[in-house]
Amino acid sequence: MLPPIIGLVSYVIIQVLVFRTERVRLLVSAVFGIVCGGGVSMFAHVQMIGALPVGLNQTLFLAANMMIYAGFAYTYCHVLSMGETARRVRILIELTEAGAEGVTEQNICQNYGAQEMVERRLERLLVNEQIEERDGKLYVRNGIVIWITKAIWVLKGILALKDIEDNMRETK
Amino acid sequence: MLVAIWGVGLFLVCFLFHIIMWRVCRPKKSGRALLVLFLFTSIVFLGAWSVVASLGLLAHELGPNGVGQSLHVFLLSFALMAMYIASYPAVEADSPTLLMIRMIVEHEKKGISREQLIAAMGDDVLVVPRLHDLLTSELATYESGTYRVTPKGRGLANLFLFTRRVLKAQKGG
Repeated sequence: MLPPIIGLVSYVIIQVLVFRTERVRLLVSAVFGIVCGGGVSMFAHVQMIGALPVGLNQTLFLAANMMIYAGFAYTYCHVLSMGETARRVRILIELTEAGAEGVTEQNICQNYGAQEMVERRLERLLVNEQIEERDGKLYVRNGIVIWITKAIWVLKGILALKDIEDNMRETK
Repeated sequence: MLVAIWGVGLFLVCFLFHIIMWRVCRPKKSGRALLVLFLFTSIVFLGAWSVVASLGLLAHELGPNGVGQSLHVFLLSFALMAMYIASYPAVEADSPTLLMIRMIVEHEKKGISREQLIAAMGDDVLVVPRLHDLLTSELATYESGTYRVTPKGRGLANLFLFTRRVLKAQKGG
């Protein structure tokens, strides 16, 4: 049980230190940290067992520990990303900074409106090379992004959640 | 081998209950409900197994043996749950990034301009529903046309502000 926890702690420390150098983007520091933490977790596992895994049983035991590491590492990465991109978190921070006076809906939309949101996200998608801009038009560059989007549509259907287009039609 | 199979299996059982529950009656505070559902199901399943195994109704080699192995199984299923629960808001709350990707994919042949994207997504689609989420989650209150943060919301915001400070990062969004 310990190797994935050791790996996770290493991941967090490495990611924070790398990002604080201000030489890499958050995504790069997260990916670098995940790989290093994974290596530490695997090394700790082999050290505790005393040998490299042999046979199905030992391989699946290593796989279980690596899945635990991957699950928590992904969750940490997601929390980092929420601080960076989540609308609710950003609005909550705006409200906290406003204190007891509070903020009107109009002020929130002025400080952090849809246009700013879309432009920030477009820049991130362009910098991360997930989309590209040619002759003033945008195109998807990375197939993985399309698959993630499709997987979420499918999951929405399975959970009987409203599709975004239904929500847009309702609000307009 | 048991840990991997039981851990993943337990997660899948919890996921199945989640689908059934959401299709029958989706809870308002979905994040908390997911966590409670997943934890409750895992604990009940592992508890039931220990009773069944100790009574000798099934061979104890078929499942986790002892507290250590049960904890290991729980940790694996909990890691998978945490991964799913962290991703769930993007599924439920109409992620703007995914909507943008979807619109770009739909206009794959001719392409779509920035202006068209911005025009398609206004404050009423991207901002107002999130303000309502804050009220539902009791992270903010709405009174006389003004939104104010609750102590619970302030705590959460401070947690994120702390992580941003540790990372020396700017305000997100």
